[in-house]
Amino acid sequence: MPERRLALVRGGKPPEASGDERPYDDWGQLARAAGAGDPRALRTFLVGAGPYILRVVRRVLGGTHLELEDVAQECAFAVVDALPGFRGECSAIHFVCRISLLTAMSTRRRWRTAKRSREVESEIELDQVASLHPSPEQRLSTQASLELARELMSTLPLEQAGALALHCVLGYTLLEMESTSGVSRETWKSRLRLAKAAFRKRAMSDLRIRELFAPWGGDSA
Amino acid sequence: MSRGDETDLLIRARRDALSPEERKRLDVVLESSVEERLLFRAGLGFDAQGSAAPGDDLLVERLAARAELRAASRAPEAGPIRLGLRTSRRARRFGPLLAASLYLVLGAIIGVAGAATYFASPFAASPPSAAPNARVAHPPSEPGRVQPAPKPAASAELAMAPSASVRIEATAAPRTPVRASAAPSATTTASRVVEQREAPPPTHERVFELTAPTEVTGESSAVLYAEANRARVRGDLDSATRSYLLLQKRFPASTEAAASRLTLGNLYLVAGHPDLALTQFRAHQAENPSGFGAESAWGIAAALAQLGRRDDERKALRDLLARYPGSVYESAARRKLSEQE
Repeated sequence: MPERRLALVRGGKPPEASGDERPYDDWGQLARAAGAGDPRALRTFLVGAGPYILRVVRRVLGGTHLELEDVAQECAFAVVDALPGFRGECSAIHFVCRISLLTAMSTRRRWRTAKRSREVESEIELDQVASLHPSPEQRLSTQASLELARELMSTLPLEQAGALALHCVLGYTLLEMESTSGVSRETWKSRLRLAKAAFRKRAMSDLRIRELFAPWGGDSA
Repeated sequence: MSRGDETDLLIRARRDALSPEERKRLDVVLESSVEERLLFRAGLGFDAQGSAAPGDDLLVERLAARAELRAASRAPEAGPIRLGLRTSRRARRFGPLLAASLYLVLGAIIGVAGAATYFASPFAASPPSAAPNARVAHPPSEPGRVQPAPKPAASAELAMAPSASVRIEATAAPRTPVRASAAPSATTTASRVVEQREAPPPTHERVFELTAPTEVTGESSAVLYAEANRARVRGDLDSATRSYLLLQKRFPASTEAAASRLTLGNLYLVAGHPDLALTQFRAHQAENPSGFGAESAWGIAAALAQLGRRDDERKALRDLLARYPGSVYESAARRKLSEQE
């Protein structure tokens, strides 16, 4: 069976023209120079983009994943390969984050397909989870939610998985999702709605979450 | 309220950018929808995991170095173009080999010429032991630079063996030699390299040429920076430190020198010299480097923490948050501040 890989492609309806109101991107010129083959610009850009690549990979795989560096390296390669195609339609950092996200997600899905995932199940220490109200129940639900989101990124259709990843993992607004992808806001909303429905369905079948939210009793079923 | 607004409300809440009224709306959304509640918590978890970690700077360096190598191997014309040589399409296919050969030949010529000059030079008798005391990390004329504090005896720089390159810094002015006189047989390549120099040759040029590593001698700030990076990646931190300082001394206004302040600051930090690191990071900040200010701001806070200056550290963290909102260091800085307050 041929392997499906995530890639930076255009899809859905084109975004509405909103004039040339893009904010100035101080990385844009550097990214274009790097994409044009300037070795100094490439070096500078990679060193600057590295923390952002790491941030994305940590979110997708988990902060203590054993393969973190290898996947981050794949992302860096993918960024270098994609830089010549950077046209400044979004900020260079959003470009880097999106490519890193797709690459990391592809790797994760590949592992799942090959059934050789080395994912650390309990990769979040309780005291590392950010929470506005850090009660044990909420920490546990955070951990369970994280695992569910990661699982769905590997199992949902690619479009929905991408929407979930951009929204939940990277924390992008709809406007940012539109600007980084060229896909319209309405398309993203639609994909996100389907992804959230799948998330809810999966969450309701998870024993830990059912116990945590026992009083909910299907409040929004 | 539309669903799109709700979506963005959750994201803005993760960025701590909600007004009191929006906070109330958020509470309503979270109360009424289980999946929004779970996704919100998952998002907070992702945010916590995406924060920078100790050692990231070295990890990033490794990633960048490998990606750079890979990019170079896929762009065979990079070498010849950099040297300003025109090559045919056929020749470009052998670009990496050609470039390597050129560097080797050039290195050999320089080495032979250098050795010949060395044995004839009166400066060859300069005592190597004078080096550590004579070392000056940065020229006083460099704009925006904060002069480093006196180095402790255990400094990484002072720990270097009194090698030939140490003697260079003790005696040579921050200039580059006239290569044409030392290596008259060096052809177009050498003469093009000479054109890249920033300043006319000084009187001590021969000493510098003799003692600097072959790769460094006669190269531009970019090559000097690359040499320093290679040394650092292979773990030769003394050599890397030396090369970064040499770069800052010879090409103080170059972009590579500016970038090296950040890298060298991190090296000093890892080596346990926070005072030296602080100097480098502050110089980096003073030069207002586009796109990398958050890194040196974080470095300043880390150096102050190592120095035990907690009040200054908190001030530096607040400064980082104010000047670089949304940087990768944001959550780590907030966490540190909350731990201390």
